[in-house]
Amino acid sequence: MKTQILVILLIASMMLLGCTQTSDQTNTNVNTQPITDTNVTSETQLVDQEITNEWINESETIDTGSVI
Amino acid sequence: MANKIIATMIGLMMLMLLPMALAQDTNTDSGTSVIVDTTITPIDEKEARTMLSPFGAEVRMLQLEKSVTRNVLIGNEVLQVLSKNHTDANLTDAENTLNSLEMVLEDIKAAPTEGDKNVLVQTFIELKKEAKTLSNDFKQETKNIINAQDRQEIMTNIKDLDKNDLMDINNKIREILKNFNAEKMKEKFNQMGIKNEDMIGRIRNGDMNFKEIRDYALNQFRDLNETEKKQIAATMRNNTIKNMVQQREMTQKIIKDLRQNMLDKMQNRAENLSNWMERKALDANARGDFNITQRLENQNERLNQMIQRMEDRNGGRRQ
Repeated sequence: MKTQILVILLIASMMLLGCTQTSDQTNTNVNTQPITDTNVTSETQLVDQEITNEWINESETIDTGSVI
Repeated sequence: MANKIIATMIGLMMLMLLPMALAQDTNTDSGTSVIVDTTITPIDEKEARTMLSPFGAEVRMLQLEKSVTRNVLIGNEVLQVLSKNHTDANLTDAENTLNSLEMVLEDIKAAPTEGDKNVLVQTFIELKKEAKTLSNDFKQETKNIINAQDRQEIMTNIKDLDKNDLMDINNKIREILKNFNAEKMKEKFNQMGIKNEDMIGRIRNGDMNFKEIRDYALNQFRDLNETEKKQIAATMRNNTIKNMVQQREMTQKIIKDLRQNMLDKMQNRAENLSNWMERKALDANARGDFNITQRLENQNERLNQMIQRMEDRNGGRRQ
């Protein structure tokens, strides 16, 4: 009986430890902001990306939240 | 022996749970005590980066003006519907918040768009964050009063907002964007070795859409040899990284004092609210807008009563 309780407590501890680590991992991912996109595979794609990123569409808006 | 092991395990578990409990407390605390949004997101950074380019500050300030104008107009509609449908509801806080948001809007309209880029970016970020904080405050202050029927009524009343009330600002944005995009494409064309003033002129006049420009630029690029392509791509990438670094340095400087600056600003705004409302009421009166005059006078009276109550609670001393 005591051994069973010990095993349950051990498993619970390990699960808690796992949760904490997962949470830390998530936070790290959220805060990491790469300065450049390194997935560019060719010069043409890069030039395309440069032109597209710099162009501002009329429909683009600034988010100042919602009042309703 | 077994009892000791169990006690040790329970102790260990409690030790493990303690940091989680403390972390939860911190979050709760920040949720109530932190009243301003002082985070700089990748979107904020992208918006700030635009301000480093010619016409960029004008574009961003006009976009911000549009967004805040929209919230002020909707906020006014919310207050009108709620004061009609819920005559007993206390809307004083929401009214004060909306007036503060209108003060922010006036600051946005008066904000500089030329001069020191550091100042331009700082002004933009602070005004944006303040507007966002106040919009969110207003939402929180009305959420327990507003019901589905009110919401439906408000939505019906604001459905033509973009077509009517925001038409002028939309036109201004459209015009300034033509200049901004023309300058940007000129810069990119120069980096690519393309000389086509006629096309830049057509972008400036709004005679070309983005797809046409992009197709033209990429076709020109494809005609180059591999060495030229590599060289141009490297130049473009280096320039972009340089701009990003410059903008990051700016935002890092701003973020240091952002929280304190915003708290000071919001406190000043609260202190000046009564004078601002008096001035608005006089303006509305001069225009013959007596409904607005009456509404502002009533709000000002409630605000002064609230200030008086706070002073009484503080033993007659103004804090």
